[in-house]
Amino acid sequence: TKMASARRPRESAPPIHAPGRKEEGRRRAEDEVGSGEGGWMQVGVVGRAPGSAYVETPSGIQVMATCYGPRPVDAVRTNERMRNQGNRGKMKCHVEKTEFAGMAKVDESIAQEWKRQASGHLRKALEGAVQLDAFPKAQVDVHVIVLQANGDEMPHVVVAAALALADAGIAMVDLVAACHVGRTAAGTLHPNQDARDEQGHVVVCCMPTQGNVTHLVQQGSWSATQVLEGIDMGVQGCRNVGRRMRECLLASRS
Amino acid sequence: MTSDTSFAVCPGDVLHVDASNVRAGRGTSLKDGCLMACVLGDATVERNQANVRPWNGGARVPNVGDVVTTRVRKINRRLASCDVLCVGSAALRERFSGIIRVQDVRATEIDKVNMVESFRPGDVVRAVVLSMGDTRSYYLSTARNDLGVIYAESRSGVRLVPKSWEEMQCPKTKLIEKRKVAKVAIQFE
Repeated sequence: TKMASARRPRESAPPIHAPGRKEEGRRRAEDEVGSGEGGWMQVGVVGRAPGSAYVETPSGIQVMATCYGPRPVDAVRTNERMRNQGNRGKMKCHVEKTEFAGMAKVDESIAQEWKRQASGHLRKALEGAVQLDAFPKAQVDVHVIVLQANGDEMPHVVVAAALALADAGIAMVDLVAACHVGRTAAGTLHPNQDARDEQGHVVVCCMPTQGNVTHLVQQGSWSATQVLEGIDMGVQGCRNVGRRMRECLLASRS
Repeated sequence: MTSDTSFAVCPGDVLHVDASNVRAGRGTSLKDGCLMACVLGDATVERNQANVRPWNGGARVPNVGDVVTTRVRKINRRLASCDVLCVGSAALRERFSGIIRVQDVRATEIDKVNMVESFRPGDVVRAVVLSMGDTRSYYLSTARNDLGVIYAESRSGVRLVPKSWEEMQCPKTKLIEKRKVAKVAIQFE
């Protein structure tokens, strides 16, 4: 089959109250994309978009990303026109979360704030990899929509966006893989651990071939050694994720 | 990897060629002495140049020196505003904006150019990208024999037949319309 590397969920289940699904906030051992088990990635899911990708995990995270471009820069505002100088292109990232993504309804202002922050994180994660010199005077739009999430969807947002960019043929130095490392009070965790005991986490986004970290988001209080350990673990997890992304892309040839 | 084989690569894959002999071509980059692929596609080595031909082609933008195919959107006395549709023979994903200024329409007597007698809205024009232009448009030029109008419709809606470098004729009404016509080289199969 085309999806030789990843196991596709055998059946499609409704996002909430589905039999067999874990409750909000818990992750099973094989849920992490970084652990190399479970989960499903596919590119080319949106026919109209030059590049698109869909990432799903058994824990119920569903993320879809599309990439449009290179297209003329939409210099709507005057200051954007001023900044449209130079030989580099632009990349714009938009991350959205559907209203039904989480279990509870989220306040509008919190949702807007999450959207803004997530878009910023995605842009920083991808900026190091996309070769903006390849499309001067043009822009690439990356749209990611989180269809279902349980709180730690950020790594999957980055993975889906990177797959969509590669599917669109946008020149990149390397793929960008992302991975989540959680920490309990006892010490640093392997990425696939129960979220309930987490006292902090770090999302590591890195380019898997050479292990160059493009972005880090860290929450909770970590000691310096724990941070370094967590990043190392995250880079290892990203290597696994990168391998799976690579298999997914190579299998997408139609 | 020899010149008659190609294999599939992802962005970030290292191409196992001798980087001292092989140059980085389209879709590849040289980093730390290694040639790496930048796009998802097939990697080949041709004439000491490593290229990656993307599976999803079309992620191109016009660059200085490219011959582009455009459609004239509107004209005024100073310039013709066009939509750039293709670069070479590859269609672009979206239309980029280009302008042909009156001094770039032809090579001779550029102060006597009449834009209405050179292009009309709706004409398909082959032009070369002169420069990146301003924030809104590329600057294009048709100041060469092989550049100019390659397709135009007469007022009766029939395709005009080129008569000379500045005249086209409607085959239905036999009326002559003035354009800056491209000298298209005819290829015999």
